[in-house]
Amino acid sequence: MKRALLLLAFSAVPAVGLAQTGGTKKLELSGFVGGMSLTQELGTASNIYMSVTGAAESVDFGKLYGFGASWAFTRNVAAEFTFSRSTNLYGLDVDDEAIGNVALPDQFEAEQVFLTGGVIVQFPLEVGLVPYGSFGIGQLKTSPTSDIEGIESVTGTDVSFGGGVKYWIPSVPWLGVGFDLRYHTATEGLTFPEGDGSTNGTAYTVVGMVRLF
Amino acid sequence: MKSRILALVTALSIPATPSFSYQVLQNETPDGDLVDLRWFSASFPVRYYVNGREPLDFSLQDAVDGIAASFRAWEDIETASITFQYAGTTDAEAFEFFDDQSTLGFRDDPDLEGTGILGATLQVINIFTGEIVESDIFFSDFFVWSVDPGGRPNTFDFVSVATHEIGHFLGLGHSHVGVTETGGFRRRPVEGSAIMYPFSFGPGSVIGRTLTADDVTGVSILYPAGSFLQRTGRLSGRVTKGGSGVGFAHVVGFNPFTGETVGAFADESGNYEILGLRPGPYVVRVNPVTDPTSPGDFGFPDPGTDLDFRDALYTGGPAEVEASSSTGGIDVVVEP
Repeated sequence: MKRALLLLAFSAVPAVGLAQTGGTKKLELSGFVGGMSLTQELGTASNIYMSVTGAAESVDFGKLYGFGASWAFTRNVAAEFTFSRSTNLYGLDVDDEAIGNVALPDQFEAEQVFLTGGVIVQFPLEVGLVPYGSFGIGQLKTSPTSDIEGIESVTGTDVSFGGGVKYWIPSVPWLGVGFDLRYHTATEGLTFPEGDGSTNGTAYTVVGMVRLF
Repeated sequence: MKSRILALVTALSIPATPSFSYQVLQNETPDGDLVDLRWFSASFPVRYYVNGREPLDFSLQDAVDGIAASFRAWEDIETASITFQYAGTTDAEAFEFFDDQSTLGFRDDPDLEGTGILGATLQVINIFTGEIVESDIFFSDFFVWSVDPGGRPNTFDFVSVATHEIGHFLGLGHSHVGVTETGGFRRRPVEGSAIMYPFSFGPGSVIGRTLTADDVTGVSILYPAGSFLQRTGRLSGRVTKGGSGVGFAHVVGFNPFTGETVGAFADESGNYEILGLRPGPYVVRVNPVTDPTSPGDFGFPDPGTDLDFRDALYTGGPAEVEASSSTGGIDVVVEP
């Protein structure tokens, strides 16, 4: 009898939560837009006049966007697939023997495409909020948007983790919004010939979601 | 023969007598047009002779082999198409003009003593078309030479100087892509300076055997192979000071992805164009034609060449080159 009561208690809480967050639909589709604080060094290149270092500039809000799909296996665990694309500029810093140090921002642009598969662990609350954590692994493909001799694209493994919160609108329970923050670290990035590139960055996005099924 | 004329002498010097980014030699035709000096493809392979007098510092065969290696350095450029053929030794002296023999050899003319001239090149051209029909190169007997693969102290590397002079043989002028340092032998260019820089790399050095991107680009413009011109682009703009154009300023583009530095000179109004650039972002840098070079080394008027300005970079935004296209508006403002 005691065991039966306990089971009842455990099952009762989710039932209330699900009722208030729109039901038991398992498939979510999302679209998002945001920005990214990016760290990526190009390394150093030199000639007889100067040394040039280069680095990625952060992705402005609106320059990162994508879509995702998740499937909830349980109330708390879902599998997720996301595709996102961003464009960012690169700046150069010149250290010239005769001229001194000169910063040259916005010298060229690159496209970053993230393909990520991962796991979402979520905790639906009664008020329609769903905080969650995420872990993903996939690939980051970086390609200059204009021709650079010898570099078409660079592809590396991308690992990401982070979290966010979703809010399912009570009056339209299949529709939600959210905020997502993820840290990415990728094994490869654009570099000068002597450089050794990797990419780190924190992506922040505003998410719109729908639930199906 | 009436259409032929002795074109010019371009010499490699040591800094005692100061003596051009790649520069293509040009001639003004009787009609007032400027034409590039170059061998026409009907002449390929370009035949050359070596004067049969035994050199003072090594064997004649060493000289023949060294000259062949120098021609090969230019012939091996993938983006250029020109071929050479050794035609044998000759009794003709280098700088015996209008003999229809392009001859290379040593020269002991007393007038060379103390001039600092290591070697020089002369072309006989068709003044209407710019076609080079004969080209002779001499090396001064007033220096001590070697052909050692690694160089030899206190001697000038014959292969390096021959490589420079063969650049002139092909129609290139001097390059101003170079930085000098004070070495054991007065001022000498640092490694990475163009082979067509007007000064020798100095005794003991064999740096001058290896062509740089500036040298390769210059000869590829003159003798483009395959789709070189389609695969490369150009940068253009104007150098100004106080609103006025800076005549004959030297402009280089540096692509940090390829590591290539290629230069050009502005015209008398400050307008410049750098050709043959591989696609990518470029840092554009401007400097005057000053010490240790002078305007005369490049055929520029003095006065008329503005030397009174400081080195400067283009900071107006991206200077990206795309294949088969021209990126304009890369204007650089310099200050006195």
